[in-house]
Amino acid sequence: MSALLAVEGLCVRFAAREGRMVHAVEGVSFSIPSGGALGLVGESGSGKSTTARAIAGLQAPSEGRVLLDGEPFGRQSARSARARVQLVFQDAQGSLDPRRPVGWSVEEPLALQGSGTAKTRRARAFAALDACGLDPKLSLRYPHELSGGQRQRVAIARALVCEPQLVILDEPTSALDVSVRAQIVNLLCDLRQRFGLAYLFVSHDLAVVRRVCEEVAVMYLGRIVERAPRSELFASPRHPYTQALLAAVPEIGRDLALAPLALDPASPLAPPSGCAFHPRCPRRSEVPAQRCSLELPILQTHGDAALSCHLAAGAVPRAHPAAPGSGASRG
Amino acid sequence: MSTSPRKGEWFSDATFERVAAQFAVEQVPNLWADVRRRLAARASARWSLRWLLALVLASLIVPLLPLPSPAAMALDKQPKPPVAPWVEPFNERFEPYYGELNPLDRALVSVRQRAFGEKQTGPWLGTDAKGRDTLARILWGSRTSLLVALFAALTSLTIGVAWGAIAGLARSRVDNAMMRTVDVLQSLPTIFLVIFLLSFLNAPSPTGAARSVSRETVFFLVIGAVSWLPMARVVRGQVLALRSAAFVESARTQGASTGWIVRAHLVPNVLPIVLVYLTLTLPSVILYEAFLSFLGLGVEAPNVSWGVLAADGAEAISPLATFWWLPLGPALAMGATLLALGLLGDALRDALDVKRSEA
Repeated sequence: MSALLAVEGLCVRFAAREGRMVHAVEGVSFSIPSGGALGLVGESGSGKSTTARAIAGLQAPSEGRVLLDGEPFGRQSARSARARVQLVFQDAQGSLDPRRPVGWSVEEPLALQGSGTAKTRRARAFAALDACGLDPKLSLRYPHELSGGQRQRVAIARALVCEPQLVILDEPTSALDVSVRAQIVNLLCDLRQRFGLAYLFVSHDLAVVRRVCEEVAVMYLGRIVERAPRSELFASPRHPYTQALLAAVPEIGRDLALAPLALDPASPLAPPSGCAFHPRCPRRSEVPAQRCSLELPILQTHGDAALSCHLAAGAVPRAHPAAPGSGASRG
Repeated sequence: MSTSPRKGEWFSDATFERVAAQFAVEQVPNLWADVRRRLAARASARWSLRWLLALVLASLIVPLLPLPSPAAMALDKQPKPPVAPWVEPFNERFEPYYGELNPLDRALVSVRQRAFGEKQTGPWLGTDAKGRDTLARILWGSRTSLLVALFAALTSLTIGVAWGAIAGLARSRVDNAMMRTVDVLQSLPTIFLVIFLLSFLNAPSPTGAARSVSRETVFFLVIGAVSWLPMARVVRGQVLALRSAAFVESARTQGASTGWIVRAHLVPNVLPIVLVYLTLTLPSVILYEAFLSFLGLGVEAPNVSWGVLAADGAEAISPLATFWWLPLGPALAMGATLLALGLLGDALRDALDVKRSEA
């Protein structure tokens, strides 16, 4: 495969009180081709940020592996390999050392690589800031002296200065004003085109994901429930959860047709049996024999899309009358 | 659009040259230069620093000054009130009796004798009931207070900071063990400990030979055991908070070692708090010394400290006569020093806060 990043069966579990385990991420697999962009969307607590952190090496995976160009990638990887993957956080303020001028923070990855002299590092940091649309003079400022948008640009410059192949963006626009958000999204698109970057874009903002990414994966309670190319996913979402997410995006001139999802997402401490989404699923009655609450659906690939739902075409015809005991025994 | 640039050359195009040429000369601001400038801009900080420096200098060179000996007695049986410097600037009654002195001080005293001979200052701050000059005793006594402060500062900065930093960086079990040790030490009733140690160590042994562990040694041991504890707590809290800060994690994703994290991120972020906390620790330790000396548990005669002087002064107060100059001198000296440390800490806190760039 020519995938730049391949994630295979990634699981992240945390020990909770009373010996219980939080299943933050369960068996997540996907791949990103070189120069591709995958959006990872889902509600809070769906495990999308944990997935990003595990790939960046901030969180040791409990199971599964992360491959970068076919080589295992993680905390043990050499610094030169780690420089190829960069992480941009949601909180740009927190990702810059408050006691260092931002120019220093942009130079830091280079200093950690031990590349170049102090002078060339400085020059490269200036150039990276320039590429992110910032006046390099701002590198003498402290983070608190910059606006939120400027800080996020600095954080992006910091990620770019090592010339990575993959940038993991963990909610990079969620803390920004709408107008600033649009600027940052445009910047991210431009940078990707200019430098041939691959993105793993974690967000709950579907509009932003639609603008940046060619492929979108939807996560619910630690699992990917649907993955599809952008056009397909936004035009005809197939998983009821994706449908509900898209319906929940407010749009001017359109009434919210569907009621928002009724319940809060279940706790990853005690995920529901069967399909984790079934207590909230508006269409579970269409599946006979309580299959949804008994049997875990498997992520099945159809062409370049994948879906994990018992409603999936062919599995259960929609108008099929209830047949007791027919599908439940397998679970 | 353009094809993506080759590896290693993203930023080495015209932008690189232009930007580098434009900004290579600019200096990255230096935090410490800023701090100095902001401190200097504040009058209270300037005066506090001046007072503290003058005090340190005076306590260092006090044997060289043309002062009366702090131990030389004149049995007047009555404390003499202060005489203004312009009434009696100097007299020629110097008595070179100092009790036990370390070799360095003895050398300094002999230099003083050669330079000033019999000349000494008049009793500008009066004398005590044994005829000893109050000013000389206050200046000699400042050595004890400053030495205690120095000792506490050193233990706080070395043991306290290292302990807290290691506990904050270590895994939970090590952290737990280290911090429970701090809890145990902190819960010791230090006054009782001092009394116990003094009576135990100074009791005559069955063989008759006095076990001589000086009070100063006991005192410094106790100060050393106690003074670093709050610092360890403060540093640990800071390190814990910083360890999970996004900028530290972001450095970690780049393969930063713990050494790098400590040098590049923890030190600059923790040091200001340590410095400010130090200015809180020092007054409390100076006060503690004075308090123990006041109770008679501190330094032994012929050594003096501000606490001893204040205790002497307080004893001298009687219904018949208030020898006000006896407690007033050491009390003012100590009050001014504590105030200076407090004001300096306040100014330092503001000066080190990068967010209050222009105060």
